[in-house]
Amino acid sequence: MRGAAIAVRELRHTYAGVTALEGVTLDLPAGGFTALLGRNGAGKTTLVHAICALVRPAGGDVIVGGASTADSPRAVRGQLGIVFQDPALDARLTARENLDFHARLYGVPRRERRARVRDALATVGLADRAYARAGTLSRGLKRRLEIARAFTHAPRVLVLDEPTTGLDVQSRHRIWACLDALRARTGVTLLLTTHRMDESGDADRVAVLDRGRLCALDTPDALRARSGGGALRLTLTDADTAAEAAARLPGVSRRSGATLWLADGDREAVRAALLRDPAVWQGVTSLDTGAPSLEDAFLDLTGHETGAAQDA
Amino acid sequence: MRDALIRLRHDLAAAHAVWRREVIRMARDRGQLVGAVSRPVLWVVIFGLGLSPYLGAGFTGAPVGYVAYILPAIVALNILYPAAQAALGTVWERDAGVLRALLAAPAPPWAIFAGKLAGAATIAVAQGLVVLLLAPVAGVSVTPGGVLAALLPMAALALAFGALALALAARMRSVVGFGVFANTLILPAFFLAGSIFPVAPAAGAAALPDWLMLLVHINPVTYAVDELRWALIGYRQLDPVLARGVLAAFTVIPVAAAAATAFRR
Repeated sequence: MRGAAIAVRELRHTYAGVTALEGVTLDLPAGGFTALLGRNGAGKTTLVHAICALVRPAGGDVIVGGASTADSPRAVRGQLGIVFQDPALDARLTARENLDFHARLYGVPRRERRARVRDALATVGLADRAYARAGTLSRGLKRRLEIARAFTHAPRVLVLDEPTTGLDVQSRHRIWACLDALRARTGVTLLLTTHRMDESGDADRVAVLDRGRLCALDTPDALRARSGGGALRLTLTDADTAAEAAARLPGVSRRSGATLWLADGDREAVRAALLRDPAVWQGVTSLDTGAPSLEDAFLDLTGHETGAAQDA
Repeated sequence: MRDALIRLRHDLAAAHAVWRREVIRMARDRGQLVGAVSRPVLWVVIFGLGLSPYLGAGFTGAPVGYVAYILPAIVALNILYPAAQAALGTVWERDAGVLRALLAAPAPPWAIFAGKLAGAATIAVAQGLVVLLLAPVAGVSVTPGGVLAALLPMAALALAFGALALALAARMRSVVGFGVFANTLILPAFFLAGSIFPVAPAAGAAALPDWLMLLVHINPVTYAVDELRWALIGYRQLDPVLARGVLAAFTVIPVAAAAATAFRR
């Protein structure tokens, strides 16, 4: 692991009295892939905007490749390639023209521009659509074009804010393949925000953000292991049945919708209780002791609310 | 010193990129192109030629015909529309997040603003020149020297109005219809510029009401139209020093105000 590509120090920010970030400290190792995981409103986008020097934080600092966003935002911006949450392509320009415009904006020398644009389009598999107007591309292709655009100027860090939101499975897989290829080829540092646990699984490290605080920073495996390894998971017919069962079974550690998690270690007692209570037993639709998913870990870390809110 | 020069070169390259993009986008906007041609045709042919027997009454004894008189004003009108349209595009860009992507680039906001304004002005001047194709219809013979002389007031009007519209657009939080721009800014500016009625009625013609004359003299576009008339048909009704002074101030003030407020990150 080389030095930090981005160092976030005690970052604080509020929007009109609402706290978005509450003292976040985070290092992104150069060449690494960090996923920033959090539900909607956790502060992910604010953190991204602070890193891109688009918001001036209320406190703390962000250092990108040795340059501070507060003192030299220009040096910071030049090192970043950004894919924003909202698509931001120029529909009337062709794919190639969109990238060419971006390269000019980022001061890519004229003699390199053409080759850079061509390479970027090829990397995301859009070489054959170079002369198509961006407005005519499908949503998945537009996303890929935006990723291509973000690295046209050869940034050190690629920041992607929920790049796969609203895309179908095939498009998502294509985007992952593009990012893998890009990392393998250029060794670019990747920071990606998502609210999808399955997407964080490919990252070197997952940073979990909740209500403006960093509540975990670890490898996906370590995070999985952290959440009560091998807990028993019961799924019942509906949330009401689950609520009723929760009241009657021993060792229920959490309930989310129609699913109950039972603390590890006391399986005999649980089994006995289940057999003793046919009313509960009949409501059980599945029971498994599989390895904890990253989703379990995430809910363990951030699951304040019970019930449906967590399922959304 | 050397760093500062390199930086300035990058900033100018960024401004140039933004300018270039604006022009390409306009060239591909069929709606705007149709408007750029149909608007002058409507005004010069229908309004000018068709209605001049009635509307030209105040021009009895004037040195120029009615259609020739309104032609320079139509040039101004065809500048006001695209300048405002470009500003509206900026509001749309902010809504769509395109503007954020621009502001995340290393280029400073002023370079992006300069590119946008120059782009809007270029498009506006180009559309203004389109009107001159109708000069023969209006009985005006346009000389290359006249066109060159007209370019300066055209560019001044395009920059001033583009900056004004951009400054307003930068404050708008949502996309409003173009009609709002047209009705509150463009049409009053056009009608109150002595565009279709004489600023100084000929002797014997009915005098226009004082309040109307006051509004006409307050409106800076009046002076731009007067300059354009002088350049294109060799006729003017206002004092040239006053007209040029007003036009210069009308260009500098909105541009400075817009540059100071627009495109903060």
